[in-house]
Amino acid sequence: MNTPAPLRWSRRNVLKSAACGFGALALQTLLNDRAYAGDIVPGKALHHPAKARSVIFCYLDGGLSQVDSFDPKPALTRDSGKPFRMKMEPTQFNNNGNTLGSPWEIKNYGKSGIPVSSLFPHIGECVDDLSVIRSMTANFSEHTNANYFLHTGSGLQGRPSMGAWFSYGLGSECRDLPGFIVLNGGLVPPGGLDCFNSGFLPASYQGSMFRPAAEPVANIAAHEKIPGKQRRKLDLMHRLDGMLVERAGKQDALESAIANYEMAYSMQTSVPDLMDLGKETDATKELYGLKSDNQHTRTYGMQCLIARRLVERGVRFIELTCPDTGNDRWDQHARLKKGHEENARMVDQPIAALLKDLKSRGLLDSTLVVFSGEFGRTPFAQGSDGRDHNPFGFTAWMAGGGVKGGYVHGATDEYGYKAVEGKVEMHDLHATMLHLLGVDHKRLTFRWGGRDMRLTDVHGELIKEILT
Amino acid sequence: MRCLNSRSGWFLLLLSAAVPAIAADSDLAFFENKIRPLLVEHCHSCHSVKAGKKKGGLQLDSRGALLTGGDNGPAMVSGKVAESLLLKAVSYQDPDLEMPPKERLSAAQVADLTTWIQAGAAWPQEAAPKASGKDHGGPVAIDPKVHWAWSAIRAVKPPAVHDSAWAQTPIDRFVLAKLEDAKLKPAPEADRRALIRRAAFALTGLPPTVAEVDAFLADTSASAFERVVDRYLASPAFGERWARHWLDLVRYAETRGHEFDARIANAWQYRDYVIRALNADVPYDRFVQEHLAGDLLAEPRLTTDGADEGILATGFWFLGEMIHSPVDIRQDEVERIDNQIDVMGKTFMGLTIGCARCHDHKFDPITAKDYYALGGIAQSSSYRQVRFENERHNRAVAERLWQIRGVRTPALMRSIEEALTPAIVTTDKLLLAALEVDGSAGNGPVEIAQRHGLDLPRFAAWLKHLMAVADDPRDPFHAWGRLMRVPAAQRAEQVVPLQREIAAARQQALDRWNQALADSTVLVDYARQGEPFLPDGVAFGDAATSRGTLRFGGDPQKSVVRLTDRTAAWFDPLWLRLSPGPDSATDPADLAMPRAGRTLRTRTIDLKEGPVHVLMRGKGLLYAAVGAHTLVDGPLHRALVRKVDGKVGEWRWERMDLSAYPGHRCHLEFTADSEDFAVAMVVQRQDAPPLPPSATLPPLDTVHDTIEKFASAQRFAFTAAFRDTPRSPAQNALIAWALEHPELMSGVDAALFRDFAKEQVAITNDIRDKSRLALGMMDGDGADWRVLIRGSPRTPGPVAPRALPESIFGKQPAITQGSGRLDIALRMTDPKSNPFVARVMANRIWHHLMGRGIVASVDNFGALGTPPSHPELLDHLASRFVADGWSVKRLARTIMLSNTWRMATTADPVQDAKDPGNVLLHRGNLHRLEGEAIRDALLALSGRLDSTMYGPSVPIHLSDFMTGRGRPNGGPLDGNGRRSVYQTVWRNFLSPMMLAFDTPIPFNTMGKRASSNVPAQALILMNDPFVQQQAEHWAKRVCDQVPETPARIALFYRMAFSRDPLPAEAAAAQEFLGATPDGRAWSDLAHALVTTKELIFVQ
Repeated sequence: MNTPAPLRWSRRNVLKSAACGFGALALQTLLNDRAYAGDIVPGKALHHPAKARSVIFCYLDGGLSQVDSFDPKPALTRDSGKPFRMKMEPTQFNNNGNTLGSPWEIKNYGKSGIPVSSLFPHIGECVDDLSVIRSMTANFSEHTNANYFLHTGSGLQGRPSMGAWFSYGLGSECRDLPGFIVLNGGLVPPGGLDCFNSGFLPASYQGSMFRPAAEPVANIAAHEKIPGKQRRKLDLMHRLDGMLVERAGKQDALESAIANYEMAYSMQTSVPDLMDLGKETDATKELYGLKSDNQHTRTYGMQCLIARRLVERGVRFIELTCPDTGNDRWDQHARLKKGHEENARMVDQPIAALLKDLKSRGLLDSTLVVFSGEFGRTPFAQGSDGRDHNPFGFTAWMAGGGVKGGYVHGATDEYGYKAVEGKVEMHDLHATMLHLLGVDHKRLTFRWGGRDMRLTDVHGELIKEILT
Repeated sequence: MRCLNSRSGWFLLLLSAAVPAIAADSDLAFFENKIRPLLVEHCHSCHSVKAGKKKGGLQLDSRGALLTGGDNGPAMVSGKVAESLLLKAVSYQDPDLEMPPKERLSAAQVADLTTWIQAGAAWPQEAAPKASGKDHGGPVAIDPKVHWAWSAIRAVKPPAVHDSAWAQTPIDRFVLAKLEDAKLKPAPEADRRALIRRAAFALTGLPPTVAEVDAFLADTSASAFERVVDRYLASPAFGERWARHWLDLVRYAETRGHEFDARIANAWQYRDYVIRALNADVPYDRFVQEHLAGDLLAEPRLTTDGADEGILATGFWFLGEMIHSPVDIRQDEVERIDNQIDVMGKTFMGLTIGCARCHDHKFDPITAKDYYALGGIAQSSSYRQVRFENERHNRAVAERLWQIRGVRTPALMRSIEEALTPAIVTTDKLLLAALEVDGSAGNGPVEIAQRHGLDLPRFAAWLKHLMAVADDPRDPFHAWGRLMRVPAAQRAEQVVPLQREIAAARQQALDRWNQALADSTVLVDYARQGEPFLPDGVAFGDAATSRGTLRFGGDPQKSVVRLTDRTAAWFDPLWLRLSPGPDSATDPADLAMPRAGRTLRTRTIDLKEGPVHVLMRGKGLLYAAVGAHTLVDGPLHRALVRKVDGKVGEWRWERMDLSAYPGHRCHLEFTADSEDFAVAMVVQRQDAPPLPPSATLPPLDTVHDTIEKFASAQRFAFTAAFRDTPRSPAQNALIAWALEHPELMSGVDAALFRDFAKEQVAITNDIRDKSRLALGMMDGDGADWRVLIRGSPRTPGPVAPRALPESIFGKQPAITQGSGRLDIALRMTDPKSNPFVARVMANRIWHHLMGRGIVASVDNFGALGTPPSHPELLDHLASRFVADGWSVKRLARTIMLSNTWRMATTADPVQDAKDPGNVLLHRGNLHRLEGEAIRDALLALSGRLDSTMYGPSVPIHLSDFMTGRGRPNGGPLDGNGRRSVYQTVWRNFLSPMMLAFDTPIPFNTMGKRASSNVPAQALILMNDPFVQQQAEHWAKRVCDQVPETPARIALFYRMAFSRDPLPAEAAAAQEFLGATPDGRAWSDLAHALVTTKELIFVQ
């Protein structure tokens, strides 16, 4: 690794990038164009005081079963093995079996006494910090649509991911890291990288994928073998660029492209620095499960720990995707017990550690942690020992900045099939997340294709009940 | 709003029938205590005048409003609990209609509402609340009579200007007039090196070669630049460059995205079409017509070898994303059509018609009815893989063949009769002899054949046949077979009762058949007059084949001749040889079978309850295009596709279990995979109907009282069959039977048809059996769509007859045949009735050349678009475009030869402050190269650019970061050196380099790319192995060409920037290199130059 040293940059550029973050300069150019101007000036105008400044989204790829985790149902246990008593909606596989009781035990945790299954004993301990939303709904029964819907507010491909919306709306507080980072544990959700793309927003806001690997970010490693060689190249580039600027005059596009290299160059240092956990204490590593005998727990633990480090660095939106435990994500169409158990073992301790760690560092108040899959699972069996997709009622939880702890919002019916109380739609979840970061979802718009586009389309209502 | 209005008449009727009765005081008290508070608390926030909200078109703040209801119909019917939607909604019975949406009412509240409605829905006499402000969703914001985009294109005279020396062309005068108004001066002309670099990138997407620059600099004539422009316009690279602009509009991709990123078979053919069309400078109006109706245009545009170019354009409709197993297949179809209309509207008309899906367009005069009128056009056309290389050619062959067969048929029939006659005249003899066989000594087949002088093998075949058909009432000789089973002694007395019994059974079978048909929903019947006949290609002919038509085998040399026994869609076996040409893929998953040219589709069907049954024969593939779902893969919709096979020569019913799709619209497609393939009808009912009764022989309306007469009658039935015109169905069936049983009848051999076979062979030798395939459209029968209230397929509204938007095209004659695409293609491209197509394209060309459209929102000319900066200039360009034969190249040339285009890009703080964003064009716009151009330029510099054009895409290189489901095998790091336009566009595996440099994600029309700035761009140019690799090649190439350091530095500059280095630049490079640079140092210099902004910015 070369010894990093700042390049020579104009003070003006540095100030600009510090204030507005990535891509803001390019966006200014866009904003001059009436047709593409949004309602707000990104990075500057929050609509109201924010409770949180960063989001960590723990995405449970494939769909966690609500009735086996945070929405236990005695009726399900009672009727297990019997024909399901409610009308069944069409499912992905239409191979619907009998009512299937949960194979896990339930325990009440914390002062709030919220029940959590034995899949999540560590998160259970944090339950007094969670707002458990038991009445989530999605519009789609297929992974891909549902993933796009969860991530972008539309079931179709090509729309900006929520992370892109957050960084478009709020910019980044970090000068040498992108505003929207996906910590990729190994799995890429159905729908592919488009779940994290910027859609019609400028590319500046697309999610950057970080992996827990030797090269955590694409093209982050310099290949020059001789120390200082890259610096020398960039110095030459800078000199020549300077001459170009002299001839071409003051042009924003040119100057921001030049400034861009500063960020890229510093990312070469900041990313390895971010990924280097050497300075974390043993206790911290222990807490996150980095010493676990389970390799997936170790991987996910590292993701959670890096997520905290990203929050500390001011990154706006961090998404964690799951490592692959070999169970086809959380998508247990069969062998529910094995699949959910191994997946839960992977995330339970690290996520709990993240919550505790953030809290002990005083960061939980300004960080919003969101935990959700794209949908839940059916309370009746698929085949004999699996569960099919269920978008009609499932559980997500939020913790941290601006949400109540130890609170349960909404309810499903007695079998945990459909949301019947306090129904929450994906757009409501998005609206609430934006709200907590000081953004009115109706006013965060981007003019595209003749419409002022929103993350929440024409929908979205705050889940007021969970707000502090 | 139109959709709602048309319903209101109906509501008025309802209202008058429901005049409120005088309510009792107790009822009113109940209302005030229980109902009104409930409505206020739980409903009014979304459904009241006070809240200004009318979700679902519904208000619940007056009795009248409840009775009127909303989009779904009346909210309540007084006194009728079961018919009151309000109660249905609050009781959460229907997952699509659950209100209030967040929180269910308590059981007691639901009971109160029920009681109230049951008792007549008492409501005190009071004025209905009135809205104070304007009604949301009211009239459209644009008046088409005055909005500039709706007005006709005017050929405006260029204005007068002061600096007429500068304003050499009309374009310059339009631009200068505005500049002078704003007290601005046009920038000086860019220097010649900048100019040629700009021209090369603008037209070819590649840097100019050193030789090109030198030639231009050496050419001091006045027309030097004109020649440069002409040369680049004529370069094949022009099509490659501008095709990429076009592909952005039509969301071009080669996979479907979503879960498994399935391939779009042969999508690249569309890309090649666009490149060829642009290089050939196909008039743009024609280009548009081909996109809309290339398959239907009267005069096809053929290549020299007969391939149909125009038809390829229709592939753009099907380049969208697709889901492999949608649980809600109808919603899925609505989304796909929405994308088609959206892309079509924006691409050709610059109109966001897609916004009118859920309601009339909020700002533009586009109604929801307009939207669904276009939707009907899309829905009336189906997807196919088209044999574009020789469909037209083979049609010509087929027509010659049909002609010759028609002419020859009478003679052939006579020959057949003659050939069969020896067999026919011995029929009775054979039959009677057969009765003698009883197994006793001397009465074996051999002896009897000898005794009667019969040919033994044939007699044996008869015996076998007769014994078998005793159990087959459909065979003509069933009766005789039965007679053989009767003990010899009883035959004489049984012959009459037997005939009666069989006649009765036959009548029963006929009755059963007729009854079964009467009990079925007959969806398709090719014997029916007016049944739409929609084949892909010529293999099924142009119409159903009548019963009694001669039918020939797949090998024209051989004498296989049959007679059709039913009127049906008969496959001509000759075309079984059709197969996909090289590089042609078939559709993925369950439809993976070569279907092109061998497929027939049905009319549009509205499915009802129960399975569907197809009366057919042969081997093939049945596919039900429910919701036009073609990505059949996965358990949920597997029933849509069936591979079928059956015994040759026999009709049968094939079942398709479409019972999961009642209420859905679909059509069926039948693909032949055997010579015997035919389809007669399609019915929908629970069980398969019985098979149609077949011919018997002799006709049993006459009873013959002796065995001998009965035998003779059979013989005479044959002769009558040949003699009678027209032949009865039974007679046809009989001849058909005779031809199907050569072992019994013999006689018809090759010699008879030798001359005819020669004629056929001469024609069929011309058949081209291999063709490349491409996606294309196929016209169906016309079927209007309905307006879907709020865009949901669950709430269909009134029918929207197929048409173009009324605010532009006015009332149009009804489309009576087919989809109507040809009509709309011609109407849309008529500049007199439609100013949009010409203006939008002229503006796109301007946008690509100037860096900013006259209308900056290039895909939106509506109210929310940017108004034109130079409206008169836009009209000037548009009218010139049309007058110049819609030539893209000529308009580009005109623009580039203006002084406006040639201005330098150098920033001038004083002028820039007066014209921020350079809207008035006081100077040239600095242009950041697109990802494709950057990559191509690197290849051009390194010398590794492979200029091969066209063909299947090179798989893009997949980095470790490009993961996910359906991950294919990636390609080489350098993409084989092919231009970026030939690299795959896999939706779920898009090139990170392209994404970083703003290549749009292919999901919708994107006429204007963003030009963003992300660290990934810098990281790519700094560290991507491809970039480093090309820099190394470039350095080596330079070092190989010149030996001295200064000359090498100069060559780098001349190649990359089309200029010599300034002394300071040369010095900086020299300093970087050091005194004795090695190869590595040169690579490093090349790499450093690649990262400079001058490489990716064109001045």
